[in-house]
Amino acid sequence: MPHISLRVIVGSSKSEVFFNATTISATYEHGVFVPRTPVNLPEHTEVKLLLPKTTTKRNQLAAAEKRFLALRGISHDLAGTDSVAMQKKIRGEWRGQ
Amino acid sequence: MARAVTVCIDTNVLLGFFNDEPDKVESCSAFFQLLFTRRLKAVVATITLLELAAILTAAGQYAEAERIISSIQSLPNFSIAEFRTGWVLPTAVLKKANQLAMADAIIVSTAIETRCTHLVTFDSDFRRIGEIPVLTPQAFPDLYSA
Repeated sequence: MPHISLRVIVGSSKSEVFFNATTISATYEHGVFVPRTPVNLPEHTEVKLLLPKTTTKRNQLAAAEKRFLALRGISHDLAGTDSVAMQKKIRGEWRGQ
Repeated sequence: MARAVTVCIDTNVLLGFFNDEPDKVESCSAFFQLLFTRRLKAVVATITLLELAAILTAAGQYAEAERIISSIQSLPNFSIAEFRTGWVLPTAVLKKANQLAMADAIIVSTAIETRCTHLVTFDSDFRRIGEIPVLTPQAFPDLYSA
């Protein structure tokens, strides 16, 4: 189970003036954040939760993929040549060209 | 159910990227990024690795060739496909039917036999092949924009 700390901003529900912030641990269950430890707040106090930006696994590149992308241009000394032409040339060698 | 997209990558796409070719490198880079972020499977034929290594080694870039081959082999969703005995006769048929050069036939056959959904290449000679859809790296993202 991933552990995410929430930063909770506590404030008046009427004035919308937020005056304090603290970090608590909570578990997200069935659409509700349940604090792991008791919080000393009056009933119906509005809070704002600052959720950390989570990077989905889908968007994370593996280290090997990052290393691969970093190799862009590694063989630039072949500049002036075209990769399709190079491919045709080396494949032409099969026919003795 | 539609098959998951799996691409066979032709030599010129990898070479255009590694060689920083102005008319190809941006589309190659975007293509590889798309493969990686979407966790798409890709196949690279052994002959492609050999062509990359041979071209770079001939140009005095053996160390670069080593790094490239090692990097491709380490990619999590990439497979290196060795040519199998069972592919010999279908490849001969493909070669004749499409009047392909031997190495071109091996690439197309590898794509088909490894059940790739697309062959990705800049070489327009492959466009006439009917056995597998052929796309350029520029056209590949269109599969996901529809």
